[in-house]
Amino acid sequence: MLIVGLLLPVVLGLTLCWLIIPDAAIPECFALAYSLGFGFLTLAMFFLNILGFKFSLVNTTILVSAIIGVLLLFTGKRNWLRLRSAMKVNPFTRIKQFMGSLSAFEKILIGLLIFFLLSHLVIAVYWPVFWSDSLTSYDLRAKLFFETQSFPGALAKILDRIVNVGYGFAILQDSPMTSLVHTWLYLCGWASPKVFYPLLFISLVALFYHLLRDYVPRYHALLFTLVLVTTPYIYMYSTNSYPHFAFALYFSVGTFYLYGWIRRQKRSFLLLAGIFLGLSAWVRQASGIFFMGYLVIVLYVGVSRRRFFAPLIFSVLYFSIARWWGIYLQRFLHFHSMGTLGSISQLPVFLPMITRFFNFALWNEVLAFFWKYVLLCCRPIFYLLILSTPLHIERVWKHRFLFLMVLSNLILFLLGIYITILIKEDLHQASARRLFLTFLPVIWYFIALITAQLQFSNGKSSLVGNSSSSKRQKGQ
Amino acid sequence: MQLPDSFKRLFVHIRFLVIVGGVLLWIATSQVVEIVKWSLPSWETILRNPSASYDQRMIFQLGTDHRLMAFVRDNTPSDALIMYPPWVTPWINQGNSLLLAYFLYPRRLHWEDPKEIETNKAITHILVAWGRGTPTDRRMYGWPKFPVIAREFVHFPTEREVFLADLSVGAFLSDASSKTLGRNLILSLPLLENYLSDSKKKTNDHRILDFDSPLEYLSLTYTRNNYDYWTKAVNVPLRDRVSIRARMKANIRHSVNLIAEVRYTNDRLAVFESLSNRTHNSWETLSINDLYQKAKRYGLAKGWSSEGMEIIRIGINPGLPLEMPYLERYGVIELERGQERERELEARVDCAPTFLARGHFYRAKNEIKEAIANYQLAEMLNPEDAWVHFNLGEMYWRQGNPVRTIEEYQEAIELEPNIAWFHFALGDVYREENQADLALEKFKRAAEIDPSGTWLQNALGDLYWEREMYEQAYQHFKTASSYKRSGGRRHAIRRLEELQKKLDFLNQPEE
Repeated sequence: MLIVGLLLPVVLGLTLCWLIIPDAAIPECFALAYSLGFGFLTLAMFFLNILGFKFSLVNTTILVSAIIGVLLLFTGKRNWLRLRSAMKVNPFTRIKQFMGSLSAFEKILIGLLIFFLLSHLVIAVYWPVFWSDSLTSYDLRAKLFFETQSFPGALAKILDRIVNVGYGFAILQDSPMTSLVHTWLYLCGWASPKVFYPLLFISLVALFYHLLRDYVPRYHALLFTLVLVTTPYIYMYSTNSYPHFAFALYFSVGTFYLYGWIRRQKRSFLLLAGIFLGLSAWVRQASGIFFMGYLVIVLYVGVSRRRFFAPLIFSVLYFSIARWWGIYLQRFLHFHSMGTLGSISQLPVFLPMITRFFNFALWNEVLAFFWKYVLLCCRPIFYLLILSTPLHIERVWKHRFLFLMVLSNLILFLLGIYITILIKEDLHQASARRLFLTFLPVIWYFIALITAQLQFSNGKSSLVGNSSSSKRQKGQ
Repeated sequence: MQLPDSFKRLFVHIRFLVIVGGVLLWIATSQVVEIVKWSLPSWETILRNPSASYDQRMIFQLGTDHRLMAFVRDNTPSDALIMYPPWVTPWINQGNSLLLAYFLYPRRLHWEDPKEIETNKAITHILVAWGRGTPTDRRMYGWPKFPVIAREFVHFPTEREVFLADLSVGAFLSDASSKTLGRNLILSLPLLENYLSDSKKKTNDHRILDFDSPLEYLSLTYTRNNYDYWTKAVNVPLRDRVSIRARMKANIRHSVNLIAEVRYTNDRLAVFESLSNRTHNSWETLSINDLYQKAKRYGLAKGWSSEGMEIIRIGINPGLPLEMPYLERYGVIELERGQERERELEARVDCAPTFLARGHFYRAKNEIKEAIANYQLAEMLNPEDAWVHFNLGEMYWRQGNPVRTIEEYQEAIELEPNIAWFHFALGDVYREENQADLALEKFKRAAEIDPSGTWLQNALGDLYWEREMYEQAYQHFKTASSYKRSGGRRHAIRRLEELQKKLDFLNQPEE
């Protein structure tokens, strides 16, 4: 059963992946399958409950198996055959070939990557859920879901357990994905749900490398993948069961694919971008404000390149995943909360404040807060961003939309701090720092792209020829 | 101006080397070092304890907080309703309702409210939590800070060490028996034997230490202790002016006292007790001076003849329960709710802890007369137990007898002057009896000993309010309102709102 707990979501993710992006390379496909699979598995559990069924092991397995069956009907045998033919080649021969093609520097980078990822896996799996917030919010909720196998049941239980403290609502307020993943793993007999997080980290690493490799030489992609892995803040957070890392993964991967779509106009990338950003809201409700920034960019690109449906597809996909939990809380559990910072539902609250946005003393306070507390753990990344952007201005222009995305994220993040200070008059430093974790992979991706070495021919710059990216562009 | 290609190339190469080289250097020096520094303690634990259990792993991370949770989980039934400390320093984790809910599930939780303990019969247990972290005031440590009618208190293992010397029956007698017994009984073997016990313990060590004068040494680790009598048979006729004495040193104050068992002519037995040790790690002499009078009074109360009484055993009770403040810092108390006992209380020997427990039993069943009768018997056997007096005081208050309540509370304060609740309770009685000055004096004394607790802050606030001293009242309500997840907080917040309105009204400029 333990294996089923991991395998079923991956198979679901694979079938989804084949449906959306049939020409994906196998490592990319598996990395996508893991993150997509768990996202959609939790959505399936959610819809089971909406339809009045408990999200028990049997019910969920039946529903997910049915979805897999239907998806396979759509995708046909083609992908299975592709997978089987890929499997037929001896993986050791492949690895041997791959290792033979590596330079010494690349071998060192890969060795370090394997070392850090294995260490991460062992540490994450050894320690149970122990961080206070992950215990009291996400894993407590998961245990209640596991016992009652329904949302109203969990709410009733928590209200009953903690007599005379109206705390149950606060517990259910956050998006449910990570708690549902824990629930699923508990249902499958896992004693600790933390196995999900290091595998998710590996998934991010694989996708980061793969999506970077499309544009930059291999050693450069490996180097920046190692930089991402060894970023202490990401490394530490991804061993714990806070939802912030999962949020960062879905948000960053969504961003990478969105940028991929802008560069290549490949529809499957847009679909993946919408889905991943939607899933990020399914993990935490903080993505709304940043999604708005992306939507503006998609609107511009869509209109300028006459892809008028792109913004619509992007928004529909995002909202069709992101809004479910909010609607469910309001309609079924009758919650009437303000929502957390960044949630679209807060826009009506923010808009009347627009006249108060020109308080420069407060902006000064916001910047000081950002510098002093938010960047505390990642100041060198910020220095590198500031240093490398003007030094590579011509590459920044080439990747201007990614630069815009990074910029919009930073500006909207500062705006979020500003609004929070306006509303609450204080801001939790650690919360803001944890939210900033979301942008680190995107910032690294941007720095990696602009700092890649160029090959000169006739005084003009162009990238070193890259087989995988050129293959993709041809196949488009 | 167009730069030549060679310059451009050079710039690009330098730029590339600076950025990529810088990144490499940074990874090697900063990132990797930080990650290794962070991972090493984990790896050390993993390699040393690869197969550690869930509880062990959690204790590695959360320390005492998890140890307490696991202890409470293992020592309470799954349908328990547990009262927990407020969510303030030093109980940030131990008073965190969600954290408690996580670890103690499916047990239910109830926030701090001393008033509810007797009225809300659904509450079955009280958490005993010393607290962690660094509060500005060290008096904050230790919870609960209010009396609890305990049926059983199981706690973290605590080691008690007792050194005993010169245990003797006083030689005030003129007959021959006194000459043989008026000496240090420690010199004679065998050692003290464990005679009667209502405790859960492990005996670590018990032997004679031969220093300048011989000492008997006892080392015991208790996880539950109501009483634990270690005695030696003597057989001395009990006459007037007989006294029992011993010198002793214990590692915990208030943890050991002297006992003497008396046999009446009808073969009934009763154990009389002395005051407990007042200090730790220093020698002090304990004695039961007026044993004959005590035994006679007790016999009279029970209808037994005081003729031919004999002291048949003397010894110590190192298993004295530490009621409050709880020196046994972590554990869980099961409340007395008048439930049936699996094992009857010791009946063949009359002793104070049994009568105290019976008093609690009848009190829980609201049979006040029976409760008083049992507390009175406990008081006769151990008149120097402050808690017996306090319980008697509470029962008299319920009977509507403030005079006797005040007497008993005063007696309790005399015996244990450093228990804040005694002063608070007496102050509360004075307040009810419209003696506001005395009430304020007592509340202030309670606040000196331990300023924490919403009940005390609210009481002071209310008293100042009545005297129209709004500034002082505001300060006390403000303090009480800072106690998150506490019963008194609502009252404090309501009062603060009322006070704000009142102050606004008073500060309005006259038209």
